[in-house]
Amino acid sequence: MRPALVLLAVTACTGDIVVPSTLPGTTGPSGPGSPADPSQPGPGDPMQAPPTPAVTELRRLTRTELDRTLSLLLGDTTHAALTLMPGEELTPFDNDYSKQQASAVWVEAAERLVQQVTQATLASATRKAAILPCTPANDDDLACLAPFIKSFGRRALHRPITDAEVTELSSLHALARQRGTFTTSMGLVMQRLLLDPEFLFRVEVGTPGATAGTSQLGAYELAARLSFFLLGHAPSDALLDAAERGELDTPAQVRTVAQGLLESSEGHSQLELFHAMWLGYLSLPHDAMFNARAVNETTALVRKVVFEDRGDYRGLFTSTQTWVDDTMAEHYGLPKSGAAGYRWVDYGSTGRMGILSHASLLSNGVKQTDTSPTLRGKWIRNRLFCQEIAPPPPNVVADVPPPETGSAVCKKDRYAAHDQVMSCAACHLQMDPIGFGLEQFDRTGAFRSAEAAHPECEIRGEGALQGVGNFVGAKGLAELMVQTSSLDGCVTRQLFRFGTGRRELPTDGALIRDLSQGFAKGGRRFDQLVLDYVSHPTFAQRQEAP
Amino acid sequence: MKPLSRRLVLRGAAGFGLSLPLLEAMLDGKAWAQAQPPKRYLLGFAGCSLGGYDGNIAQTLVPTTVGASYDLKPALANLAPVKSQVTVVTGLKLPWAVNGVVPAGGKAVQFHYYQVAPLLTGQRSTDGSFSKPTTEHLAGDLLGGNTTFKTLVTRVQVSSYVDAAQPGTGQAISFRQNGTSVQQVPPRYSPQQLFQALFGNFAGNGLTPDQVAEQKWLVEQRRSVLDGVGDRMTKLKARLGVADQRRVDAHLAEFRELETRVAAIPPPMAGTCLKPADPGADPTVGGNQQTNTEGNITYAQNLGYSGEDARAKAMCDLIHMAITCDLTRSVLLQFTNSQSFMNMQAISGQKSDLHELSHGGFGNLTDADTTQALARGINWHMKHWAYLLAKLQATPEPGGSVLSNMAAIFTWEGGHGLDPADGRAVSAHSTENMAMLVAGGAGGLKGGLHLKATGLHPSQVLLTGLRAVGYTGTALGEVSGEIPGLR
Repeated sequence: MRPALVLLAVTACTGDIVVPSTLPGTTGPSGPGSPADPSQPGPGDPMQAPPTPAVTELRRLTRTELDRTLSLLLGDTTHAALTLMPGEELTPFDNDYSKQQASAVWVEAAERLVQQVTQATLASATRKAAILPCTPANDDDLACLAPFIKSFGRRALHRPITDAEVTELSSLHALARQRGTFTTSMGLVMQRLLLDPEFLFRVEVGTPGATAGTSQLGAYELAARLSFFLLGHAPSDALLDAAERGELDTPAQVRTVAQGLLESSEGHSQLELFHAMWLGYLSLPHDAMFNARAVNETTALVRKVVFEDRGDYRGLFTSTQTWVDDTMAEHYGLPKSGAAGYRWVDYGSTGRMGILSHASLLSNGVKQTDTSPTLRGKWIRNRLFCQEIAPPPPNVVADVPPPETGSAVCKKDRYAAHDQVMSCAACHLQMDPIGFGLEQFDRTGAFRSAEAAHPECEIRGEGALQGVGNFVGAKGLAELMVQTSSLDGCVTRQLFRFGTGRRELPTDGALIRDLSQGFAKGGRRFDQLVLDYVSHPTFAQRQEAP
Repeated sequence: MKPLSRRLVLRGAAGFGLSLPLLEAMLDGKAWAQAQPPKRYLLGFAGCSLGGYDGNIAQTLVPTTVGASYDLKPALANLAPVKSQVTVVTGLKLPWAVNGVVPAGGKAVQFHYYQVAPLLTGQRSTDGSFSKPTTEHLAGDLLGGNTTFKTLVTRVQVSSYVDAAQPGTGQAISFRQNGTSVQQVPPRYSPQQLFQALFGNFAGNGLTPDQVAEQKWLVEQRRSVLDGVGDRMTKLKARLGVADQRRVDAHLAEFRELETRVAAIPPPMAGTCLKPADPGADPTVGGNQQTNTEGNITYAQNLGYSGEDARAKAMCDLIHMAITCDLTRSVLLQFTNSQSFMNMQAISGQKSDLHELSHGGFGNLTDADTTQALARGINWHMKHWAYLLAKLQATPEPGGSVLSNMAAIFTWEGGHGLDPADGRAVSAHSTENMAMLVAGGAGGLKGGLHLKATGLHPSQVLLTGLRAVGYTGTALGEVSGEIPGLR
């Protein structure tokens, strides 16, 4: 029997399944160190409690955000930020501020980056002219330096520059003029502004709200929040102008502005980046041509579901077609067209369905040279059910797959070792059976019906989602996942994590619940979920971290 | 802007003659030459074990001869020019969990990364996490004084090269004390940025007065910008809540330290302290490992490799001069990441990565030569380690050479022997038969020996090195006692 509307909250790998009857979508994490489960009842009545403003903390711009912002501000196309700045650990998003640690290497790289891009900008007459609103009459034309500070400062700090700040920044002119020119002054002002904490960090203060610790963001702060979330860079002049004109003052106005941002090519790219990080195909491990095909395929489906069909987001998982060229079609065992280029091809009766059949997703959960049913199951739990699985205890080895023994040759039999010990089984039964359901698809997404090294070992693709039901193959898992509807809550949570740069807290439960319920009721349009989130009154607010 | 502090002027003009009266130090440029040079601590790290499955490290790495005049096996062959300075300590053992209980100074039964924390801190760890500071920070805090880089944390390997790794990422192995807990210190991994950080404010020799003035003005500009940024961060803090203030504070401290480093007057370039050559643009950063349709890693030249051979040499040159010029007295030089997936093809001609070499490898290796193959990979580390030691030894200083005043220790992340996780008796996933190399004459350290330290904890070697440079503690984490005969 398959319960139609069940979700799982698994507690610390005991195997106990908690089935809240009324909450669609949110599934609980488990294991030590994982965040509290917002769907679990807390003080008061969480079913009725209204959403509260989310806690935000100071966030440093990621490498990508720095790169895009410098490109916007200076017309810089050298991607110096990507070369000079240390990279981020993906968790799976690159903007997790709990990982943003101050360090000498980061600060030194930032200083060097700012020196480099400033020099390059001022060395180009065109780029210099683009940021200078006046023509200096001479090297000491402070009447031209001031408007430059105001215009460049507004773009760098995404707010108006005060007169006091103009005075302070103008004081750099004296040092510049010891041996330099007006351009030297510009350079010092630029370096100072591009190393300003309000440039390098996303600073949100707002004005105090009715509840202690909460505040209402100012229009410029809200513009920055929208821009970084929807476009991945600081707000443009146009968006700052809109903020200045009061066009972000109400949730309805925010929704309208946000829709415009979302529909831009940058907005599309940003949501594609969200999917690539969330679903693990930002950097694939195969050869470059194959990686490109796999990313093309998945990106096309994301675009189609989110921006073209604008239909039920579950189409990502239930699509009966996929976007491939002949090389990829052959790889998947799909009919070839004989023509060059990509096209939508029907899966037919290949047992494939939606994104879970894509090489991109199936590249995750690999151990050594082969798929690991455990790691694939864990990956599905983490990414698509938003569940954490506790790490193995200190007395077991998880570094190598279960070895062959006399009686256990086939993978299924080897992995059965996990289930023969109670303490192992509790966790592994949540992971391994999901992975075995996907075993007919190798680490590149190609179909297989027997193990390469042991042809006598048939692969049947029989899997199970513990407590929900059995399934066969990627298509079976997709159908089962869609039936459980736990997807709504997890998609909402992942979007929230990307938006806030952190894991959710218990206090975020009501907002995630409301958004995911709205998502489900409104036909599950992903673009509408994004707009619901940014136009929710709490999006324009913040809660001070405790 | 803050005026230059007196101590910086002192340090700059007088090298490490800090105890000298101001005038004497300022007037006599050679005053440092009569002063007692400081002790220094240098730790090298390789992210591999000593031998693979079925290998025999007695044939590839462990000297046959015990005591003086030991023999160099293939894995250590490149140490030949400095062999008389290097003592090889073998037979070390880091304990592991028995029945789920991790002993003092021990690790869980799993291998990769689980052993690095107890190895480098002497403190047990059940999950690989660090709870105590690593030795380069203990040494830096002890010896750093007013040097510009209290502890210099560097890494040659750019990235971990797997999954979606980006430059600078990988398992952390350097932790400093921060209040009641420890905080990771990310490594400097770019030779060009390390050069700029260390020597960016050094004047070159033979500059005209105008060029000197120009250079001074450029430093003034950097200071002015950084000072303004620091002031802005201080002002911003007043508007923020407690959590955000903590974040600003952490970054403010780094910005202020950078400003101090920029402002520090470099020592006079005379005698042995010279501005090293600019290493130039960093070699291109390579991509992450990729596999072909058979599931085999391709080891394409541009994947898993970012010119680490050239980077290692550049970093050794910079570290040598940073120590010689007394910019730092404690350095971590991590050559390869813990569980290193660095592509070894350009380095040792092997179409494999360092981790796979440790296991018998993919690519063009055969089972017969796996331990030999790993030996070549280890010997690449030795090439650069020996180069650095030789440079330090060739740099004269009171007491003999810079190396005479140092404890320079090299460690691997693993040994060779029993893997308690799977019961294999001969495995790279083992903390049995670990080894370390010790060089330098600080505190009576002895070079040129092969010491069997059977069953002793590897942290005891680090403790011996620390004590040789003046550390008075009798334990490192939960591990106590020096290695007998090492000094």
